[in-house]
Amino acid sequence: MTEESGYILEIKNLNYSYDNRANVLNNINLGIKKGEKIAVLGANGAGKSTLFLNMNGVYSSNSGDIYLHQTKITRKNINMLRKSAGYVFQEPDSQIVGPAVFSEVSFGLCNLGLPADEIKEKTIKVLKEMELYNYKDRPPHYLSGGEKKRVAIAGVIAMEPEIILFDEPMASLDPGNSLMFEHLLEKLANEGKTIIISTHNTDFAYRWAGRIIVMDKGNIIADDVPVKIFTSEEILKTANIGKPLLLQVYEIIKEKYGRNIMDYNNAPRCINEFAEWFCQRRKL
Amino acid sequence: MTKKEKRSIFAAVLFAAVFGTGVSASAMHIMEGYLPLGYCIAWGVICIPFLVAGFIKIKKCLADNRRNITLVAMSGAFIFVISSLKIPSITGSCSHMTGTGLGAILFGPLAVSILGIIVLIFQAILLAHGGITTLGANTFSMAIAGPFISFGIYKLCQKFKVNRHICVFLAASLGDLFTYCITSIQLALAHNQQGGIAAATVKFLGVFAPTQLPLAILEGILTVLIIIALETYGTQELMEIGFIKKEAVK
Amino acid sequence: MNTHNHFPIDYYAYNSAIRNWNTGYKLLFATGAIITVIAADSILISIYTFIFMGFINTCIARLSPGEYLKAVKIPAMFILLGSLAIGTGFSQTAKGILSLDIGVTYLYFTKEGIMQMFNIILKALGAVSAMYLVTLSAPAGELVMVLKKLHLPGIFIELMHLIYRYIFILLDAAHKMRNAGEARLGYSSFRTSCKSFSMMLGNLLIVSIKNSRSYYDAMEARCYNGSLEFYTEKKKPARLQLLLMALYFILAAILAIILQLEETI
Repeated sequence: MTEESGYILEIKNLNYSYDNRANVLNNINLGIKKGEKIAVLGANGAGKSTLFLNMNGVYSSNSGDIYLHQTKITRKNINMLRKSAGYVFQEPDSQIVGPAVFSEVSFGLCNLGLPADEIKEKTIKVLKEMELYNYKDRPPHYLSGGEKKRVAIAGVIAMEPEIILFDEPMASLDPGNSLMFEHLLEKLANEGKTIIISTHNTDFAYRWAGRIIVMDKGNIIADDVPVKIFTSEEILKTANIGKPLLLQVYEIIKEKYGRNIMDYNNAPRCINEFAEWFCQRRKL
Repeated sequence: MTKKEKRSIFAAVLFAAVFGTGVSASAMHIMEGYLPLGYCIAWGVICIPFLVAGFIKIKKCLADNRRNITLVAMSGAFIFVISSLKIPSITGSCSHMTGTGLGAILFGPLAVSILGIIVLIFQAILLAHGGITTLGANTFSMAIAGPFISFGIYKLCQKFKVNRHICVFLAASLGDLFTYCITSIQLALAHNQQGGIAAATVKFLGVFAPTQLPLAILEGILTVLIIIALETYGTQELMEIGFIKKEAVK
Repeated sequence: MNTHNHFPIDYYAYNSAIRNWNTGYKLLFATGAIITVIAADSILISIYTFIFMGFINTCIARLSPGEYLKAVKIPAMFILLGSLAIGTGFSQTAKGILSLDIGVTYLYFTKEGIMQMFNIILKALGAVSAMYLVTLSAPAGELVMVLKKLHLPGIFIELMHLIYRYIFILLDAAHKMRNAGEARLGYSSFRTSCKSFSMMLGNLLIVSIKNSRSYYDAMEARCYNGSLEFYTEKKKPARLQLLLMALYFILAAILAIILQLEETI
């Protein structure tokens, strides 16, 4: 039973549909452990955002249950889920409501009903962490796209969620901001946060994630470690996902020069690993 | 004429020459300073019943479904945006729609009274159209009188089975004209030292006619075109705000 | 995206040197000055206010005189036309110091009329410059927070916050749509301009109605439960600022007394 599961968030037999139309999510079962780094892949309309909105508690499922630390989420304690599983929307503009950066970041904390001093303290801390303190009085409409994204993330982090859900966070970021975002992910991981990211960027997912969930037409069709996912032609084909570049190169090299059968045990996941692996091969 | 008077006339002409360059025509927002205090307060008081009714209406709409707040706010922002965008013009002059006629047709006149006063506050803050003390007078002419006439005409035309687009045209442009008339009367009531209220009203109507009459017609045309665009692409959304009834589409 | 091109006033407000002054104080000062100008109904006090506020807006708030003049010119059209109607009269015969035969009747100017015109123009300028004390230095969001303290209904305040935010989202979208239309020659003639313009607004409304749902979701995602709250810093007005306000009203009172005395003599 759930008591011994070790999951901080668990979803059981969840179904969801908009206005009683066809199911957008079909019988979802998912367990998430503390500190996991999960990438959710799938075509547009596969149900990734809807799943996130259910995990964050904005949408309530038609059937099925969500457990947070073994506590069943109901209408009454829904804010517990919303606080614990922060959701960073894809479009920062749809998320930002405050008239200035400071008030925007304080919004969630105010909703939690914290005392004013604590709100101030926490907001300042997050603004400094996110290098936004100098912008604190700036209104959102005078921020660049990358800055807006950081404000949106800060607004969620300020609430100190255990789990952070990022919906296609890199979709509109330039390379500089993407790099900054990856540093942030590293930092959050070091703090012990559980991070779930929906993305189309398979290179990133392959490099970063410890676990990959593949969605197709409202179903979870695969849930495994990256190497397993990206080497299964069947999964890639069904969900219409491309193979990460590094993995492709690795396979080609292995195929051409490899004496033995393909093995993925030490397949490189980032450029540095690849370089190391490649140099070692040459020496051998 | 005394020297002092001559000097002041000269100053007035100079002032007119300096300020006459690069001006823009918009709806007739009464500027700060144009109404004596008594009138400012009186117009504000006249608005109160309409605003209260509008507030109750919006409150009820939110009580039905709390999620409607973003929709209501979006409608208000939309009215503001319409009124702040430069409209196409033949002469190259810079003018703006009021947007309240469209608002009244789409969202109903009561809701528009509340949205209208908020839009007017932002017009004063962001565009310097109108002012703080003249807010009451402007709210009455632009957020109450105009929208109510627009809505009335729209409903009346519909009752007589006039073509919807003609309804919309009449509603929007006559609403605009009505606003312009009310504003002229408001100014005339406060400034009629030379020849009485009637003459003063005619004078105010006269000086603003060259900008307001074309604007009213253009507002009518643009509103019809916007409605056409909405009908073509947004039946789902129009149903959501209650502009088209669900049966009408089937 | 140069959003500040849409509303220079909003942009000035965020960059004003006196932005961090207490917003309630600015609103009180401005409204008090406007009422003073209107109630005094005197050329001298109008000019005095115009100069005093001009000094604060340019020298203390550090708005460049050119930008300030541009802002003062915004209501020029209304001021000119409105004053013209106030200063003139109709008559069957030529009278006053200047008469124009406009067919049906004579349009005439009298000394009193011109003085009235002059008075109202200056009153408008004085009052507008006082209004600018607050609008050119207080961002709209902060003004809404002051309204909240005045105990306006919560829904009203919430709508104002959201509308202010959405205005810029919509304008950004409108801007993009307009560029896209422009790129396809949608604004090459008056006829096509009208069509493209309306089409754009129609689309804008459709898109925004669609988006408004997800905006609510996003608020709920951060535990929004029906009342919009933000943290606001409490800033008390400094003594110097209070002195400035007192100076304005004391000087205005002295001027009013002098005027009164002159009249009685």
